Amino acid sequence: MLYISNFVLEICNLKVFNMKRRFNILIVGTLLLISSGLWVLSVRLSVDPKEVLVPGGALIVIGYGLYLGVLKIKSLKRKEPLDDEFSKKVMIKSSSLSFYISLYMWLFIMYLSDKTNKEASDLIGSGIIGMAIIFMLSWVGTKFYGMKDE
Amino acid sequence: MSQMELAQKVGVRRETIVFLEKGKYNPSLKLAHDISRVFGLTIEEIFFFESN
Repeated sequence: MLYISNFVLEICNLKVFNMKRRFNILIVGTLLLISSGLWVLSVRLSVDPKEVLVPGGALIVIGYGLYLGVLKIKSLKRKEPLDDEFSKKVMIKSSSLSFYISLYMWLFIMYLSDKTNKEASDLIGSGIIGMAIIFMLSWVGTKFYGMKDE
Repeated sequence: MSQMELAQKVGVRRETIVFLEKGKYNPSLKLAHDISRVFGLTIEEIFFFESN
């Protein structure tokens, strides 16, 4: 019985480990999906991805900033503290996660810089917007899944 | 007592109390202590640790 319970425990631990890894894969997969969609769009509709990606990304970042601002205003109206231990931990965790994922994004951009004729400023601008989007997704994901085991 | 009232008494945001109730967040020792003081109970009577 002890052997069976240990075996079940290992499977449960694997589940938790796989769920955390799946979340990281989900973020990377989403970004790849978006970039693939833009590539298909550019090929089929002769649309320059830069014309869609950069303004779209900037809009998403601005919208996210506005959303955070609205949350802060609502907190002030309810006379809540703007930051507490939970919100600070969420910020720290999402920052570290987004930094980790951004490293791979920059490696990918460096790889792309040799394959495309894009100017360095365009790639850097896209990378910066990508980092902001990655941080936004990390923050949303951290809030959604919580931080039970930390 | 509502979540908002408890949050105001211990000095945190309401969402922190929500995540505590859902079991998606482990409070700091100070927060656990403050919450137990509000209810007049010990920490062990309010928070249960589940071994993984």
